[in-house]
Order: sequence, then C-alpha cells, then structure tokens
Amino acid sequence: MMRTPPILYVNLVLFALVVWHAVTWFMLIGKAQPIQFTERPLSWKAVFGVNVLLWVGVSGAVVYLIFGGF
Amino acid sequence: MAEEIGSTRESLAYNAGRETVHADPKTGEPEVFLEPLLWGLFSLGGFITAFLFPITVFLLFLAPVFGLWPTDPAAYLTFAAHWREPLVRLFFFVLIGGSLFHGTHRLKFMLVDAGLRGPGIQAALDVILNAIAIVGTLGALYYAVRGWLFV
Repeated sequence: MMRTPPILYVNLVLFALVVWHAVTWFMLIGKAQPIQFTERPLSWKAVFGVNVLLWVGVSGAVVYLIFGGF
Repeated sequence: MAEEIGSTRESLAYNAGRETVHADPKTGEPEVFLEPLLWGLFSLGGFITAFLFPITVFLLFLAPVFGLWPTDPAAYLTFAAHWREPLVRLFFFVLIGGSLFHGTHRLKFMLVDAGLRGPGIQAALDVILNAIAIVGTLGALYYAVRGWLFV
C-alpha cells in the first residue's frame, strides 16, 4: 500500500514537512535559547551547524539501533 | 529600634522559627502549574520531532519505495522482529508522544492567531487538543508495553 501513488504523495509531503520543521527548529534554537559559554552567546549559525551535525549523528544511531542498520 | 523592611515587604531581620522568608512577594494569584508543563512538553516534542521524525519517515516510507535502501524496514516480518526490542518500543512511544504534544500545542496557537480567541474558545481548544495528545500518547504507551508487560 505504501507504494501506491496517493500514499506516496502523502509521504513525500509528510517528509518535506518534517524536514522543514527540523531545519527551522534548528535555526530557532540559537535565537530562542541563546547558548553562552564565553562572554558572548554563540551565534545562531554556529548553534544551527552543531544541531545539524547532531542530527546526522542521531539519524545514524537510529538507523543502526532502531532499524538494524543496512 | 525600628525593624528593617525590605522591598518584598518582609522583615530582613533574622527570624528563625517564625516564618519562611520568600524571595518573591506573594501576589495572591494562583500558582501557574500546567502552562509551563505544556510549554516544556512542546519544546521537548519539538526536539524529538526534529531529530527523530525525518529519518523514520525516510526509512519506513520513502527509501525502500525509491530503491534507496537494501531492505524494507516497514515490511511486516522485518518490523515485527525489530518490535520485540524494548529500545524500539521506547523509540516509537517517545516519537509519537513527543510529536503529539508538540503538534497540538503548535496547532492551538496557530488557531488562536487565526482568530479563535476568547477565554471560552481557548479553554475548549486546550481541552480538545491536550486530550488528543494525552489519548494518543497513552495509545502509544499501550502498544509499546503490550506483549511485553501483558499479552
């Protein structure tokens, strides 16, 4: 059923929405919750970059721990 | 000698055994408990949705269909084998619960911004949307523990 066009289109839209949510959420974190280690808080771009790296790492962990790897 | 009174209208003198000295003045307003809890669940759910949802949708619904993955993780036998592991059950419980609490809270404020304002309407939205999140999370919990804690 997942391969039928209507469901596939729904899943493509769902995927685009969750990726959009992830990207905008990571862009928001550094602005809504400034992280401060030194005198000045980290720029939102740095926080965004760290979150994207974490995202890649977490996604890899999910692939192996939850879905059994390749 | 006059007793020194601070800006919080409480005595600054040492008063052990008499009453607790509060840093904040008592305003008489009821303590807000549920609002920060729901905002906390919204924030936690936002992280859960951002970090875990894209890879889950990709692996379960898109990658096998487009031939981007050697196996089909959504195939019944494959998924049923993974579902025996407690970590997998915990993963889907957290994913579903977090996404529901995030999504319903966000939907509420989208509807408020769209014009559904007023104390009665907002209370109704709170009840309906939080009920959806709670019932959905309990449903996920039921399926996560079914076959493990009970048959």
